[in-house]
Amino acid sequence: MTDEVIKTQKEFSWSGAWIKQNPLRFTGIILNILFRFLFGLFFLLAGVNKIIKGWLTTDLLEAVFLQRLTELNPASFAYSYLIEFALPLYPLISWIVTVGEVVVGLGLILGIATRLSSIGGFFILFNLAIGGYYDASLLPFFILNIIFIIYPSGHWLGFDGLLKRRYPQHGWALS
Amino acid sequence: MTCWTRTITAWTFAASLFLYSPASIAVAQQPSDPLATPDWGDYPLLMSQFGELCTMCEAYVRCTPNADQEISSKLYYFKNKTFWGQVATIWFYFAKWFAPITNEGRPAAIYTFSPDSSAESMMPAEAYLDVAESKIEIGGTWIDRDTNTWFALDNTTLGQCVRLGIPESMKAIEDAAPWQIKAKMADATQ
Repeated sequence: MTDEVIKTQKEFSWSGAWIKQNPLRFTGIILNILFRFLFGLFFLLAGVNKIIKGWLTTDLLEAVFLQRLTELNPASFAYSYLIEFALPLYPLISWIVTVGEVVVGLGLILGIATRLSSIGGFFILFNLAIGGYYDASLLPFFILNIIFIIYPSGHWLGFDGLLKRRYPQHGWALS
Repeated sequence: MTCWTRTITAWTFAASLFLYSPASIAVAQQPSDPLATPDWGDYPLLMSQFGELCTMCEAYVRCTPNADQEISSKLYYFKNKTFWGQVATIWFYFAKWFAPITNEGRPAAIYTFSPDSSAESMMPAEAYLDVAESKIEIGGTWIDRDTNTWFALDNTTLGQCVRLGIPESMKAIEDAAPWQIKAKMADATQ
């Protein structure tokens, strides 16, 4: 963690005096919190939507993959990824994606293990991207994930600060 | 070999077995004829059980004129959304709770085929997919997404359209297109 990040984390306070003295930092922190909430909400709703549609109990994901195969160039890497990895393991992937989205979404909204949640989100997005579902709308999500990993976002309107004080041995994950 | 090396080798071997045994099942799920038109189901043109033509999906629609029409048949190629169109889907996701998005534009290309099925020309175009009115506008014509009927903008019936699979469309263009059309195709897809 850089000195700058540690400094921001230690110094930050919701007091009017701090906000007056650090208007730019405060704006950055507010934007960080806002985007963390929106990102978390996006993931949580996506996960809940998958549960409602029966991703955990039906073979819907298999149908999704089979349809995607009709839209991809058979010579592409994404086509091979779907055929050789995603299709055979679609029940497992259904669970990982659905549960992962819910857990990551809740983690980001509540600011619990925010860094680990961001790494989980990055993993899901990365596999979406290489599995034939890449589009430019993923780029802002990747950037936000990296920001949430670098900065102690969970300490700003989140439970990480509280948890860190109670479980200091967990270090970076809650820092 | 150290204990760690043996452990890693054993796990790699087990993981390979785990991944590749079901892989053979998936390969068997592929259509036997890759050039066959997929079954698109009973949905409006360019829609599926998962909704509107997706951001990164491409599609080909072939429109054939009725016998009384003296026009060439067309192959409409609907491309991925533009870069900013893709980024905007995040906004659309949140905005749809307040005002549903009912239409979208995306880049396209129009291949004109002569009666002997050789491609005569290819030109870039902009296509508009309208969910509310269930129509697609492209190149001075429009397609009814429910009946697949092809119309001129003055509502004269031109013919009928059908969605083709990507491999069969690419092959049709490759077979029919003279070299200069192929060069333009390469430019258009960059």
